[in-house]
Amino acid sequence: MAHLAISLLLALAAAGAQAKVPYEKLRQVGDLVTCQCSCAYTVGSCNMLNCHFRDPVLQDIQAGLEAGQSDEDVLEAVYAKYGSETRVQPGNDGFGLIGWIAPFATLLAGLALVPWVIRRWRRSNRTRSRAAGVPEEVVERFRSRIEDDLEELE
Amino acid sequence: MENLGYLAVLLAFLLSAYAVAAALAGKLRRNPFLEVSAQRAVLGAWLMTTAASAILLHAILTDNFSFNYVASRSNADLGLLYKVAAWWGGQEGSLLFWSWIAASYTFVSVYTGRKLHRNMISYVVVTMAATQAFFLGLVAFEANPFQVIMSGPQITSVPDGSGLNPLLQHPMMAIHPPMLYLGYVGFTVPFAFALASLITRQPGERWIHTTRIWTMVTWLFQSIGILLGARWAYVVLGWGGYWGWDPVENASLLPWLTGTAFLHSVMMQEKKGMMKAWNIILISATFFLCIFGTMMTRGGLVSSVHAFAQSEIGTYFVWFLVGGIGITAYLIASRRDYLRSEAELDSVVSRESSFLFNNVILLASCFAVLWGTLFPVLSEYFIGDKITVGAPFFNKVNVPIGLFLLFLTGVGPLFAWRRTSLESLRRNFQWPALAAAVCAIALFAAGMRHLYALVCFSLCAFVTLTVLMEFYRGGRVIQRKQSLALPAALVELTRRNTRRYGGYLVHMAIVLMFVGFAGAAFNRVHQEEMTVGDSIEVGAYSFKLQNISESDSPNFFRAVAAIDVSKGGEFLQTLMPERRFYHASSQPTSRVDVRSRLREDVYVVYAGQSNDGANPVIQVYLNPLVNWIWLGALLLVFGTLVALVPNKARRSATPVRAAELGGQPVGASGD
Repeated sequence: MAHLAISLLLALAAAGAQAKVPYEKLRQVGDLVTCQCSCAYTVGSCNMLNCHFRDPVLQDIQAGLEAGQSDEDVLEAVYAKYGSETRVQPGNDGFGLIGWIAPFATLLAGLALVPWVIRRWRRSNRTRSRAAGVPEEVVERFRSRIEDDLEELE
Repeated sequence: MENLGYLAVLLAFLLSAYAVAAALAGKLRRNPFLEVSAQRAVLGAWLMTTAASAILLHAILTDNFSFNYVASRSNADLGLLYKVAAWWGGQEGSLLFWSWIAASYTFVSVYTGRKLHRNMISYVVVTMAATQAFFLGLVAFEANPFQVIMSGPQITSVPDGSGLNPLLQHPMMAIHPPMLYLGYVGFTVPFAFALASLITRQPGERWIHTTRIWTMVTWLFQSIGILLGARWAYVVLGWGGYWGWDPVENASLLPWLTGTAFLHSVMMQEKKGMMKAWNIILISATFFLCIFGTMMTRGGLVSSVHAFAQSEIGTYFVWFLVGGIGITAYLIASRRDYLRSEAELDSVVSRESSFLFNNVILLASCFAVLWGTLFPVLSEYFIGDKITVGAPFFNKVNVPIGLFLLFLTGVGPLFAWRRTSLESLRRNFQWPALAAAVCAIALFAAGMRHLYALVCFSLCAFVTLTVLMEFYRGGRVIQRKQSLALPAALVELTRRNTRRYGGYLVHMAIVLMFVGFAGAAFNRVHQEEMTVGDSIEVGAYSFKLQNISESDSPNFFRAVAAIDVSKGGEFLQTLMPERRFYHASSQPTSRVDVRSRLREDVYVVYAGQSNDGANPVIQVYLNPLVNWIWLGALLLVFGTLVALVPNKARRSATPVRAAELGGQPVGASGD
């Protein structure tokens, strides 16, 4: 019973085990294709029992690589055959391009904002101290005292 | 029992709703009776939630399979630890668990803060009890864990349950969810105090002083939860990694990133009275990201291996988020004057601006993670084509952002407040910069060509030296003044400003983790179908399959592969990866075995059987430096705990400062 159970239920296909393509290479390319068996892994990492999706895709990848195709060509063929939901990253055109640009554009916009925020803070605070009618030297004296205190606390 | 449990949930929900109404009415009508009544309702809600939780836990521990939840999440032969874990192992139980933590936080924060914050505690009650009522409402009306089995007049129970998900049957999984929930729910406390401070226009930064410990403790829980989750993924899921950028993993990272930004920027408010509006926005974003993350896990917005069953509760989360964000935005907009910055900033090259940059980078990282997580949903909505986004995207986007953040971790402490002179820059930067350059040259000369890894290791050297120099300089001053040995002086230095030096320890922890992350660039993997007696070579190691043994237990059947690992002909260790088949759930899992060293992990997986079922398929991973991540995790916990200890200097200095200020008590120092 136990043997039967292990034979039936632990029979994970090992498509790369007998491949001419090294497993590491197959895994590397397979990790760029999302598995569709609901495991939420890639076909390179899926460990679902007798996965109906992983095994044929890995066979396609293996066949492509053995035929001398580049990784990119193999992957494009897989995406074309199994659908864009198998991609693990956006493409380099159309909405996919927005996908790549948006995070870096946000970062750059944020970084560009820092000097602007600093300038704005400096301007608004000077305006406020003038409006309050406090002489600049008094403000500076208190400011220095605060800085000294802060340094002490440091 | 099920009726009592459900009654307790209903009462807890009603009491929470009453606490919201009474606190609000008491405040608006200036009726202290109602305000006190609201606080008592908070206690009552906690008691009722505790009673409901106790009843569910009792049903799980006593194998009461008339409860639908118990029958679907536990089984008679499940170990005690995992029976307890079954409480949060499913949607309904975990929502009750969440509600119980929320009720506990509300009770403790209200009863410890009600005298100190008499003016705003009722508003704290409103926010916290409203959040709690939301979750209790879900438990009461959408995800009731007290439903009983009733398949017919005679069928009201089952002989045994279908068991806890095998992947959750790991000691790590018994600790990881509670830690994460303590983090998620805990951010409600600083958020509630922030809103109350806004509503009442409290002068100064009292809410920050009050909630600082809450925020740090919560952040610590969240950090531990994330790191335990990573460790669990590493040792249980068997794919050789610890972070797969899964939507649920990302959901836990999002509030952590904004929470980290808040912990930094809050110092600007404490020391300089700056970034008040920003801090309110950050803590609000952190809270709403916690809710959003919960929605992602439970509401079926995105698919994930970690997600609970898809359900309809996502809509309620959307309404809660829309309402909460709307109210918060209104409060911030209507109190702009109160949130105006008090101090000025002189230069881009200053500690203040380094905090700003730090915040920008953390938020950019948060946005990148959120963007990638939601990209499948967005692409489907805009172009009708669902584009899945996985680890390659997240790594390409977040690695450069992370390296920039690492750079700032080193640079920030070297800048002075207000402005930094060129001389100071030169003095502070020369040795760390030299260390980074030497590290880069040495690694390049040794043959390392991976750009990101080279940059990462160099930055790690840079940050390490800045942190060590900070300790050394401070320690030397104390050593000279008090004639102490350097180690004792370093302890004294840390005790005088625990938050600062605890923070540096956390920075060092981040460095250790980045060393571990960089190691992933050199991972190796090999898979082989083996028969007993076969050997394979991976890297410098040799692996020989000695035997396969099988055994059965009430909970699972297992097959264990005994694999001798040797290096250069010298036997090192026998690794015993196993494959399990759980009877109750009819699910197989792998249990990896790891030979862990600082240099690298040798990680072996019994992946399954060959196509003909005759031979085991063994996977071997060589994961360099991965242990540094777990060491970093320990240091992060230690550093945060140090930062939570009150300053020695503060206790002794307070009377002096009070005397200087004419006997006025000093609320908190600006450490």
